[in-house]
Amino acid sequence: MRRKKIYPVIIILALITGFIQTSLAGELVNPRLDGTYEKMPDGTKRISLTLSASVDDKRVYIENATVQVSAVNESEKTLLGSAVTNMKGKAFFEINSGKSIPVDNDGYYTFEIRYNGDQKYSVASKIVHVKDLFMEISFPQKDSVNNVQVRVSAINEKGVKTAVQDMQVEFYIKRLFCLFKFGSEKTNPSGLCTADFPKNIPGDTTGKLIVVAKVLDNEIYGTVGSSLDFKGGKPLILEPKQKRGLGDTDAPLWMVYTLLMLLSGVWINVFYVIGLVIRINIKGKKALKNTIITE
Amino acid sequence: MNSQEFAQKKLVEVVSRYDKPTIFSKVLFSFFFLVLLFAIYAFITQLIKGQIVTGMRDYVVWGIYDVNFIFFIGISYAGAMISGILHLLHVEWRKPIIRIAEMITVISVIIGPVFILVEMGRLDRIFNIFTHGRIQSPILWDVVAILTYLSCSIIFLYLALIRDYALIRDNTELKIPKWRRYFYRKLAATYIDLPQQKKFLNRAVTIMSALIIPLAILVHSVLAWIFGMTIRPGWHSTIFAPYFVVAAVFSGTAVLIIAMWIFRKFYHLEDYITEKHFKYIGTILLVLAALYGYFTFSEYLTVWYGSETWELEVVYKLFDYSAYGVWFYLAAFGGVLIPMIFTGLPFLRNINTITIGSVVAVICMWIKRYLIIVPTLETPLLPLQDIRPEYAHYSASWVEWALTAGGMATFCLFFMIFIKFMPIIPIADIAEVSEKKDFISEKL
Repeated sequence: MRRKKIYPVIIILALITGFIQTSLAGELVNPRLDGTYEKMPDGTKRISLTLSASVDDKRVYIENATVQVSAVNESEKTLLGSAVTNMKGKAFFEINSGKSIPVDNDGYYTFEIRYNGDQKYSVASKIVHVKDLFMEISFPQKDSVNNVQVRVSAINEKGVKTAVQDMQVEFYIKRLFCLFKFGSEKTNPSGLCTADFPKNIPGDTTGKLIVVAKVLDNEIYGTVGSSLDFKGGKPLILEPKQKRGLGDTDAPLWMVYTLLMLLSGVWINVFYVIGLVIRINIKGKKALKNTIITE
Repeated sequence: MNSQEFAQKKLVEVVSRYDKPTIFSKVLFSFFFLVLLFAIYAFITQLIKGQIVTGMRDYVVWGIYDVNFIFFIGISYAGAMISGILHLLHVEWRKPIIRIAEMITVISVIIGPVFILVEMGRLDRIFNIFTHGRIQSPILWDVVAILTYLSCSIIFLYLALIRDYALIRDNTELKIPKWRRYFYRKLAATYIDLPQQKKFLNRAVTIMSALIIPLAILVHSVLAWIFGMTIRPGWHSTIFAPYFVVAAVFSGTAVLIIAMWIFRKFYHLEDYITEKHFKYIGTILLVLAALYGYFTFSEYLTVWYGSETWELEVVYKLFDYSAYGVWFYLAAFGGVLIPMIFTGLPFLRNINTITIGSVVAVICMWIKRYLIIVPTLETPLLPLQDIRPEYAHYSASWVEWALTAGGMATFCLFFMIFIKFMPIIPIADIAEVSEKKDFISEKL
């Protein structure tokens, strides 16, 4: 009888506990997943993605989150792999060049990026729909002035490579830490655009520079880049190596002499002192020997 | 009573005061030993897991290991300067305290470099310093200078001990185990107080006294040049070498006062280490505190007035209360003013206040070394981008604190072990002074 009375109490307590837990846990936050397709100047292809959420009207970047990337076509979805976000919520997923990515009839690739959520954030996904774009760089000379020309083309519905008109192309030169922008042009009906190559840009010892052309964040093609070496820079003249300098493997002679003099100055004295201790010992031994003989 | 008998009496009197371990000394020894064991455990953890267990990362590559290294090399100045200079000046009152000063030197020069070994990521490559070392590198100068300094300090300590070892060798009253008596007999170098032996010994001590002073200055200058020759804010300074030297003598003198207080108190040496010694060494500390304060003011005034952007970035970090302000003002003002007040004002000056002033000075000097190393490394020339905060900002890990505590414990342990093998008071010297006094009073 007593047991039966206890059951409703347990049920009510469980309900209250569950309610408290649910209210404490709160609702899951909806994250925002952004992704763009990037074709790098070296030819590698990747998906650049950012995972963030709006918490208390502030944008918070979600770090250490695993985001899956899949290639999608009409009938199936193939998981390509996953990437983990950094402290700024960013991750880059490199598309393996050996894997064939399905293309639809219009020449589009479709990728699905998906975050499966956790205790704090809910699931988020995004479809990245892109077409392949081709950029070819050349360096024609006009009136003995160097130019950079880019031909932009894409595959049309019939599978034929055709010129892309009115495409904004940015021109850069690769420097040590970032890209140096020197032009921005739109392509003509033949898919060509040309920029003047700047003078007096220091290159390596042969004057070689790496020229980069980019189409940035295009709705159809994503971010596409292409690069090519060009000997159009000012050759770098290296300063002659100073022999026995600070940077050389052999130290400057004055330094070697100073060190030798200092060390020998100290150690000669030390050995002299050790010699004195030995003499103290000898004197003592002799005196003791004489005392024993006299006794 | 002849001089030999008098010295033997003094020897028995002094050694018997601390030769038998008390319960307190046993507990203390066990405590230090446990701390050392914990430090060894921390070191093994570091060896297995790598430097990732420390707080050092890409930017702050030197942490409290380096702070400890500079700190210990600094306090080694106690023996070199106090003992060396006072010997050359024939200052008689130095005699009861020089042994402590010399011991501090040897022990700290042994412990200090160990922190550099602990800091090295690849300890197995240590010999590359000798096989592939570049003479242009201040690091190599430091290795050479420290090894030479250590050798000279040991010889200096040994020379001062020869006469005392001879006394113990000839003593029949003290109960000394056979193996220790053998050890004393060998180290006494058959010294029997012959006039020629005395002459040779005095000459040797004088040479080493004269040698140890420039050597100590050179060691700390080289240490300062490791920083000074690097073009970084807060380091690239022409006065860094003398600044380091003054800071080192200052901290060394302060540690000597603390050691004097401890030995006086726990080994009942009140009649040897008197208030007079504290006042004299306290006066030296006062002068050094003023000098150190002058260098600090000069260093930061020049940098602040120069208004060089990168330099100012570090200076403002030091001045800012939300960054290092509290520690900086404590080290710059507390470390200078408190020792000066306690040693300078006659109505405050006594054994305990001078010791408190020294403790403050030692703590502040440790903080100062931290402030020299860490804020500068946290301020690289190129802006910090896309890195985790813990990669740019340093915070010492438990491993580093454990090894620091281990270093301090080893310092104390070495002292406890050393005094088992060498009298803490230079008996032969003291007996000589007493004999002279008796002779003068007889004549009068």
